Amino acid sequence: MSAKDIIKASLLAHLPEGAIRQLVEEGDEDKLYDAISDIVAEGYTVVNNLGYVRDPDNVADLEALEREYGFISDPNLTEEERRKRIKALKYARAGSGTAETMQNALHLAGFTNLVVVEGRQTLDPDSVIYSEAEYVVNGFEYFLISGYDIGCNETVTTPVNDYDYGCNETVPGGALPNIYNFGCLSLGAVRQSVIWDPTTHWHLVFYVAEEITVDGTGLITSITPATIDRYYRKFIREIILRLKPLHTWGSLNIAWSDPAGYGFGYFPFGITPHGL
Amino acid sequence: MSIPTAQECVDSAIAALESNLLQDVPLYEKSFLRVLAVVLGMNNAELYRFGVKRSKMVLALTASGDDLTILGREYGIVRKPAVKALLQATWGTAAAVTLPKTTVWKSEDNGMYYFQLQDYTFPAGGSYIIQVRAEFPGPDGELENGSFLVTGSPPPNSGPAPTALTSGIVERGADEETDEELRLRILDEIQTVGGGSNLADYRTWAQRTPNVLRADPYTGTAPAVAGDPWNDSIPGERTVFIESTTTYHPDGLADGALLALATDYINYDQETGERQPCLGSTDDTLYVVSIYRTPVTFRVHGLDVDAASILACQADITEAIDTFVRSMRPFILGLDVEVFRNDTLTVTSVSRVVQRVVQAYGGSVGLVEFIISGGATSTSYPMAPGERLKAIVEYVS
Repeated sequence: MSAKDIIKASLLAHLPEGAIRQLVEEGDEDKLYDAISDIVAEGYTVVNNLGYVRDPDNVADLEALEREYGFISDPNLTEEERRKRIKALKYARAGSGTAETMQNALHLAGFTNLVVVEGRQTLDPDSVIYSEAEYVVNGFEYFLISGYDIGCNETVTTPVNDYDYGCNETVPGGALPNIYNFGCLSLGAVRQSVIWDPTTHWHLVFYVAEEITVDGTGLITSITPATIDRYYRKFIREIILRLKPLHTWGSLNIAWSDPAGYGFGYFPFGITPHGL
Repeated sequence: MSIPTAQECVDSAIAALESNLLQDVPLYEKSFLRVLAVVLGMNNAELYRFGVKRSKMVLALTASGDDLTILGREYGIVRKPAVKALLQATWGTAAAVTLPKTTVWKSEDNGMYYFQLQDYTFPAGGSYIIQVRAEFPGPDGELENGSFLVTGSPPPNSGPAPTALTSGIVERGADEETDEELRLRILDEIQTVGGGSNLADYRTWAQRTPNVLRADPYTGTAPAVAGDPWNDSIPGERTVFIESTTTYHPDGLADGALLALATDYINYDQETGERQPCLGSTDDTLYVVSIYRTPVTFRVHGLDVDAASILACQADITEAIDTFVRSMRPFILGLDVEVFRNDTLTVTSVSRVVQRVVQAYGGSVGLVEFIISGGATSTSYPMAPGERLKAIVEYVS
């Protein structure tokens, strides 16, 4: 029953009963009640919409709900995609911080060629880790240049080349630092010689790569780095940072490749890491 | 959401009447229908306004008062209650005496009454510690050490000293959490997904602490020198920067007592007493530290407004810059959302703030520049973890 029908029924229910007050269908009085019902139905719709203010599927003021959930209204997204990304965040279940949780989120975002494996206590990754693996932590950025024992504590202030990592990173085709887009800090990335005690700290590191093999005792025996467009670097880091336990470090074994023809900002399925 | 004007609502009502009645009504009835349309149209206009107002009250960004409290509860965020300060005071007695729980103390400093939490029984001679709770919540109930508390009803054998001297604050007073503080926590909850002791979890736990406004969690160890790279970090370490409410400290700094309390809130669920699921971590690698404020000197050159209003204009500019700078916070990738990102101070952004004020006075300004901590002028300054800015505004003719 439409809002108009409900209101008209309500009006008619208040009329006096009896033959003297017989309403002629399609008569002037009936039409008048139709008109009044139409007008009141407008207000009914306003009140009815209040029930959907926080409902991503039905909200009338989609932009307000986007802001509530921290999204920028992106004109490149369809309305369905905009509703979808709010739902992805609103109905996300609390993560468990496990490798499986992170891997599922990466797959959901379209990075189906990545696996996540938790480290084992006595793993010395020098022989298996990707030579340009980087660590995913927030507030600062660590990069292993070659294995775990090379580094010089230097702060990268000048990029060695266009694809050098760090806050002075430049993107192909442009010479400007891209601090904002890559989510770095001005402090610069730090190339750090790792001096951890392997038995104490390596179990707090998890590994992200295309393929990771483990032996019968659970120790990692090989890591095959994934190759992914460098424009996704920030997105992948953000997904991991959102989900990982604060005290752990992620070792990202990814060879960043040149862009594949689309611009920065493109994201598979219209879902951003914020919604994962 | 577009809200139709009252006229549009009336026009819509007229259209509905005319289309239903096919405009074939006699003139006098038409007049009646006009009046009916206006009444119903205005009613709809009011309903639209009411609807929009109510819809704002179910969004954390725009809700206020009780509506915001109810919204917060839905997400498990409870408005922090006001806290009455708990003080300790030293009281000397010559004779053995019992101070009953009903003994009321008064401070001449703030005019507030203080109440004992229990009976005290002391032997003859010596000084003893009592604890008293302030009459009203908030920081006003706190007293400097050595302040006098006087009781109008000293025990009959207590000797000549109906006064006690305050000797410490056991629990600081706090006002009820404001709408803006509560809104921040609700939005954090809405815009992030916690679980597994991730970034969002640490922020949520720390921000439940009374008098904590903002918590910024990071992996690793903060460097000894603020702003330096985090070179010495190793896995397992976590640093949580704490910003207090401005009623606790005007610059939002956290003292040892607040940091200890925040550490407790991070480690333990205060409702159940259970330890938070930190996946085997220990306190040895949890560093809860205060935010720090970096002074920034803003120089406004060539301010040209009417002479009669220049002082008022300068005051407004100073306030606007201060408000703008205090709203800035470091951006944490993986936790904060881009739409609210405001972590880089630029000449452009601060100039815009100044221009808005100057335009309101019908004047102009030559140049706005800023200097970080007594260094050279900068055009852009990204904030480091744990950093907040503090504005000092100078006017150069």
